[in-house]
Amino acid sequence: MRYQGALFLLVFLPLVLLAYKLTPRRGRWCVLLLASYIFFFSISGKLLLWLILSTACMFACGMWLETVRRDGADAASKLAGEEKKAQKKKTDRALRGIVACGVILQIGTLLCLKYLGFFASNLNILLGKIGLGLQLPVFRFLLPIGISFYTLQAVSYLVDVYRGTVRADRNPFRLALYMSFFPGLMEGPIARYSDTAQSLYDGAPLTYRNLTFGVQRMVFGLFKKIVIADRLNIAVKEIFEHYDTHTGTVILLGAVLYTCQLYADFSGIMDMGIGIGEMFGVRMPENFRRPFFSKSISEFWTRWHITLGAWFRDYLYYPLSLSAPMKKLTARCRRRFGNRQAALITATLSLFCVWLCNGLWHGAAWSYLFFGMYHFFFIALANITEPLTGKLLARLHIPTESAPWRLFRILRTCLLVCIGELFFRAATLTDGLRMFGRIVTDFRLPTELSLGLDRHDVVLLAVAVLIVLLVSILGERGVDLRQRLAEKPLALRWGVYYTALLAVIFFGAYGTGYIPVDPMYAAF
Amino acid sequence: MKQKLKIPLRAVAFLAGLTLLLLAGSRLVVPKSNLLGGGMHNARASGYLSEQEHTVDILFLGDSVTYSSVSPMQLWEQYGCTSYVCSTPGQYIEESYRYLVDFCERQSPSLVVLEAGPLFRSSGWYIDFGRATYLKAEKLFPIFRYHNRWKSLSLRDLTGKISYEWKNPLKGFVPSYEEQPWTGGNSYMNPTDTPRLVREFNRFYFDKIVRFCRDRDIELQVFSAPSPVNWNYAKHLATDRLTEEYGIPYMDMNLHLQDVKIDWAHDTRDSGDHLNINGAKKTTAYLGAYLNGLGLLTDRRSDPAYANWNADLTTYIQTISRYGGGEAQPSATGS
Repeated sequence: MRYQGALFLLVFLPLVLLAYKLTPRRGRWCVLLLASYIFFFSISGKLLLWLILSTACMFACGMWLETVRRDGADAASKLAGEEKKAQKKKTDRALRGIVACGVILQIGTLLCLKYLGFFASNLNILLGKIGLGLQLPVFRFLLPIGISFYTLQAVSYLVDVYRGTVRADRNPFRLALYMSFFPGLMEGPIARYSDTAQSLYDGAPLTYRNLTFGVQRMVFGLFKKIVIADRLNIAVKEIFEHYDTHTGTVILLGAVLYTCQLYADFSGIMDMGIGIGEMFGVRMPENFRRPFFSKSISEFWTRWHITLGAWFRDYLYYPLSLSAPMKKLTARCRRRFGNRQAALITATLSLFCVWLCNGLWHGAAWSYLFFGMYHFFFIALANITEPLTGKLLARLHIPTESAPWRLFRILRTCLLVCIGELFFRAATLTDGLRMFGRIVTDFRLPTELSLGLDRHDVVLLAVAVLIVLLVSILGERGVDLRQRLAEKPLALRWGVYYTALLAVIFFGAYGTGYIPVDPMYAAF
Repeated sequence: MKQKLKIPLRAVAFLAGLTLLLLAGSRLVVPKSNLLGGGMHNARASGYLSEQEHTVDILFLGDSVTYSSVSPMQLWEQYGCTSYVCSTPGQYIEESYRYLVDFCERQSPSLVVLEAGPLFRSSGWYIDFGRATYLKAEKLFPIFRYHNRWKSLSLRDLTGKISYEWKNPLKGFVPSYEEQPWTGGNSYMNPTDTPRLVREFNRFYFDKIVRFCRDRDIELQVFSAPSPVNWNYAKHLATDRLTEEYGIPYMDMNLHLQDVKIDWAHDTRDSGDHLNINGAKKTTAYLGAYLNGLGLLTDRRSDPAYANWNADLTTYIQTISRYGGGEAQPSATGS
């Protein structure tokens, strides 16, 4: 079942809405859980067991943390002075042990299922190169849908319970819903328990506003996904699969088109997911905030796949930066290089770990690792050269807030992002490097260009991208389009809804003649 | 109370408006001609649309194995029966059912011959179910099938006049003169005790086909054409048991290859996947004799109402003799 498929839109979703409506408020979360498990099973079948195991482990660890914390607090309250301190230390140690166990189990499962084959095959190459006759078995497992997303949700829950920012949930089935809520199951957003859990269990009534706002967002997502992304897929596939027959300029065009496709696909599915959540009164976190208006790579990552960036920030970057070894290193560097340099060194080290994991999270392949390192390089470079850039701009009298400078920075960021996505999409890292090589050495314009799109497709794509751009510009200016639309007369509102629906139905790249394109991030 | 009713009424009004728009959109994009250039999907299989109503007695359903193996004009030549092959590449059983229903809206067949291949085609239950849902939506609102015709809309589409003028002289048959031998022999039909699974979803649609035919007094016959690549004994066994369960006759030519006189060195176009014209002539002759033996064929050759079939036979003979090699393709003009 795919979010953009007929079965989901015409059968599954209406049935879930109906069942939700007919169920008393207290039991509505059960409807959502059942629907989520059916949705999961329809895609991954028996691999549902992995999700259940992951949920069970998360529930058990959460309850254990809660019990140890409570018992520790009880014991400490009866003690005083050094004994109390010792008891607190003992409790902290136990809590750390439990959370470590829970996190290792969650991440370990992900590592085994997703990365074991990659590590084993690369180790075999290495062992072969150094002349050892040893060959490790290479296992490839079927991955349950959304494992990379729900694993991060599970880890965030455990760490939050450990930190005491949330209370452990006493109901395993409610926790199961947090892990599996179907609108975010395939591609996220990576929700936090503290943000979404309550609205999931509330069983909010289906209101007119929620339904209309939800449908609006869903249709806009569908527009991005099947009108733009799936149509662009035809040209992108042609360029990336036959890059050796194209000039550097066409490959660069391919990188730009792929970036547009990925954005339209991923943000489209996000819009659909968040819109569906909205219908049930569930607020899911935003994952995109007009990323192509970013003026730097680090800003880009606060606007693109926001929940992943925030997860790495809260559960990897900060804990790493504040860890005892890192504090020691900072102190040493401070003595040797001074305050600023010391902070820069430790921040860069933590950033390196974050981007290594970010690259790996996307997939078990060298191209993804390279993708992570590529972004790390530009972010670190910007951090290191920041004082120098500031001085240079001041010396050249370039006003940093002027529109041309801002535009230059936006375009520069877009170009860097597109090149990064080229490596992300290329079949292998070698292919990515070859394609990049062509971009910087072959500047010929193609004499004729046929990328599987006719002139109608090109005009349609141009108009559709302009619409998305216009909506983004308005969003960037703080205009709440949906609220504005809601204030207009009924006839105008319905006119807009009908136009949007018919545009999706008429101009969508679906049905005969098109290969269905699964949501792209679902593969990660 | 008024306030309570306001929202449901609004929803109904909105959906009614959307339905009207979808119907209008469907009317706009539905092909106004059955020529390939007219935008109709599977124009070959839909060529029956231009046949005179209630004149085609036999409908063949199935996948590419069927349209490569059965020549309706040969059946006309030999037995005087009128038939059409509504088979499409990789046809799913729910598509077979859809073709049956659509065909019966214009024709009154006395016999439906279903090739067994679609019984085993499945992409997983939810994809099958999704496809069936989409097929249903396409039937209700053809805009879902023909939406891509926005690229080629013309004034004719605005006037909305539909005329199916292309007559398919091959009646859905797709001959090929290619020869690529099958060298695996007949071992693909070595007996086994384990039948291939017929999924519940496929059984459901097979059941619908059976009930549809019974409700309309249409004879149903299941058959399997020779195809070592697509067929085996496990599938034969499953089909045999299924048809026996429903009391429907089943004939598997793969078990009678000597009687059919199949020569795998010369009768297949792609190493045992599909038959070529040589193989098709043999299987059609065998199938014709079998159906005639069951008394299921009606000779219409002396009926003046069917005189155009003789004219079609002349065109058919010219058409298949024109293609010395490759696969005969109906052109945009239908010739």
